[in-house]
Amino acid sequence: MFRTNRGVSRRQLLTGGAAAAGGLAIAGVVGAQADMDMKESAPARLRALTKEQAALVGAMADRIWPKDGDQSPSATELGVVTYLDGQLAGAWGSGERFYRQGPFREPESSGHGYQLKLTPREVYREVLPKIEEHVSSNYAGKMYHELDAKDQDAVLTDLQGGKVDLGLATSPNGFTSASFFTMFLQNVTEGVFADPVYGGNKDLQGWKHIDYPGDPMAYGDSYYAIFGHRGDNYEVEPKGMDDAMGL
Amino acid sequence: MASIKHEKVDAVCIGVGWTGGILAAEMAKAGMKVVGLERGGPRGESSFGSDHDELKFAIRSELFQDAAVETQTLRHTTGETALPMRYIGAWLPGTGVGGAGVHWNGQNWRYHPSDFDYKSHYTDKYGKDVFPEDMRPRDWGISYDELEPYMNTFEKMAGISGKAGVLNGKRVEGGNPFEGNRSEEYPTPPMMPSKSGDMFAKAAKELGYTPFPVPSANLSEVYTNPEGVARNHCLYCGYCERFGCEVGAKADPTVTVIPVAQRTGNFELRTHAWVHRITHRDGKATGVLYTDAAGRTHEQPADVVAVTSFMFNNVRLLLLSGMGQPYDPRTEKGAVGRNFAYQTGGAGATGFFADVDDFNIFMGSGANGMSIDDLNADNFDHSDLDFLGGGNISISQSGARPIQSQHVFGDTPAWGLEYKRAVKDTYRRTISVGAQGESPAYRQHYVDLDPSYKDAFGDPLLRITFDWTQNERNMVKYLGTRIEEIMKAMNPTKMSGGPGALAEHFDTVPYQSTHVTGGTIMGDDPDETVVNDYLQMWDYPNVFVVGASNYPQNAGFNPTGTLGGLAYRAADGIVNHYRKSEGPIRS
Repeated sequence: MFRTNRGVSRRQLLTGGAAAAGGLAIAGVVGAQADMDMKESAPARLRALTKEQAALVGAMADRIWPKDGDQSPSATELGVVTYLDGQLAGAWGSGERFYRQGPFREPESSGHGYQLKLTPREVYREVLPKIEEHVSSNYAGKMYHELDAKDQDAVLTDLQGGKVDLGLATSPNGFTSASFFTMFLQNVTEGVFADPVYGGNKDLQGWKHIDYPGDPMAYGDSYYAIFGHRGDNYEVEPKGMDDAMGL
Repeated sequence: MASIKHEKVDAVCIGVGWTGGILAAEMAKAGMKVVGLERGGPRGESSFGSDHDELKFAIRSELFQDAAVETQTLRHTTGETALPMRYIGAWLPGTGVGGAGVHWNGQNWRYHPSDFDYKSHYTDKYGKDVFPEDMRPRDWGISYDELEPYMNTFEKMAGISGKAGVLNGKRVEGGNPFEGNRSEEYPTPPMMPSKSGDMFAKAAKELGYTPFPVPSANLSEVYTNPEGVARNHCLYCGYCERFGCEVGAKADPTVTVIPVAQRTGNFELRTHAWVHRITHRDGKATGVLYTDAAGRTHEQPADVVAVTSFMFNNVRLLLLSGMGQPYDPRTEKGAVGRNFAYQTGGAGATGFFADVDDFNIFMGSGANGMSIDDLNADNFDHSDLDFLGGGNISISQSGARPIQSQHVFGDTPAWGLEYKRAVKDTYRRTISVGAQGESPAYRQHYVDLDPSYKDAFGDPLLRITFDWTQNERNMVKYLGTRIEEIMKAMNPTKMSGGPGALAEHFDTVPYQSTHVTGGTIMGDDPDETVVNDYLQMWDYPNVFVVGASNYPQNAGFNPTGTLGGLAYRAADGIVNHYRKSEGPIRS
């Protein structure tokens, strides 16, 4: 039998005997690469957001995904701000895979998607101060993180409804505050549920919340051996790619 | 600067995905010297070893075409200015060796006999006035029976896992009763059924439908194909579509046909070889011009040019190269670019089952599921209905990855504490039923070259003119209502569903389907079609164009199984006909 690039023979996989044998016997395979223990690392240095922007993003994210008792950490406790900052500083934030040739036109009808010339990082830097301006005008000079939860939710609801002028759209088909809210909600969801190597989903608590096991090779268990069974509910402590045993 | 000129070869394949890979293998096996030019980089099983990374592959588009280099523009009508799709969205075109064949789901179908004779079938049964005024239905110029042996060859090469429903003239229990006749059983048996599949099948049966396993290109068992390619079975890891298969269980050109081409010694694969033009003179192609990774221009002369670069680029290359007459929707003259169609979604239902603990919803495989074909094509009577067509309905368990699989129901908000609490319960207990709806062709739906927007090389992007019409809206409403009935019969705790609906206008943003078709359609009319039933261009007998670009309209199925058949058909045309007699192949 030939070997995979991870050095485990396919024969071990074929037998589906991993579960029965109590896990794959992987001699000499390079599995986990835990260079950095995420639990003990210092708070990540901000690379794209300013401290004020990070505070705003964190406060908003904590209304999207709030704390719900000690067993249910908030978005910021999960590292969502670290996640988002990293994304904005990185390839996606810089416009990777984004067709950036003009002319740039605001759509005249629905169904055309994103048409700004701004990269995601530029969008956030443009929009976040506008959100604080909106809060200041409507809530007696306060900043978003100073509002009570009810008002914070009201601001998000207004964003979601396209009711806040962020200066990037001249019609409902443009990049409205609803468009930004969709982008932000997606980013928060990523921060909660992406593999922890990206800085969010800290201690796998995002996955733990929904009982998602993580990397399918995490324990060397064979999904092939379990899939056809009824009544077998596969529940394990989640593990990410770095902790997975691999092939 | 002068091009680097290569020695002439027998054939060049533009793009080395499924169609390019199949043609390369068949031609190389027949002793032809073949060069495969792939615009993207090298890829293979060893590229996919360690990354079960939903963000990287499913969301940040790691394996797909890079929109920054080239994308498409879209307008809904000819009266609009087309705008570019600045991010990958509605479809996931491939790039790199293996193309989209690397990251597809593996759902493998043969279109119905009536799909190939679409215009004749509906005309004979309902009268020619059944077609809406702007619809442009066409027969394919090849019948199911003529294509059957080639689709069978594709299935055996890939090892498709399934159960025949009609075998050598006899109806067989457990398969699709509506399928065209098969000459052989599937090469491997169906995949293991999921719990969600069991529940769907039970409900479907109660409602009088005939469920059967979705035919799968993800092997149900270890398999060695007729060419000696041995592959492992699927591990049900749940990282199928948008990912490459790290164990080679998913049928993918890089683990099936490309190695076969390479071991003949007659095939040379060049990567980062971006073909910009097909060269031609006096009604014959002479070769291609391409740029390499360093940006140098090359000229590759060839006796045969195989245009195998996915639907979009097949048409675009012909237009950029000035081959054939571009389609004009006002006059309906010209064949290159006409009959663009898609796949119609919008009908589906999602159910939450509070008491079911063992879906193991994160396990799965791209084509693992159960299907009913009763409401597809003309498998049901349309006499009293307000639409043509239908769709294949199925439940599939491809692996619910967390970023993209959170569901809430009813009035539950999309964020906040109530949402967070709801998804804690729903994630492991939610399943969905959907449909692959037909997409007819219309006079006003077509592709051409955009007048404003260009790719990274300075060539015009492909412009698509397309939108949903009333026929599709009516069809989707019907299918959605039927799917809702099935979901209700499955007895969920909560559900969403109902008469299906399509967006106000076709929306380029949410992923819908990569099943784009048309533009180089096949048929028997040299004025209105681009290729004949061997996929040979009417205007250039040494050019074979192979892709879903050949489809005159799209059926209610994923297109790849039929496409594999067309690729083997084209190979037959080149190897056994064109090479012997040169000139147009008359069948």
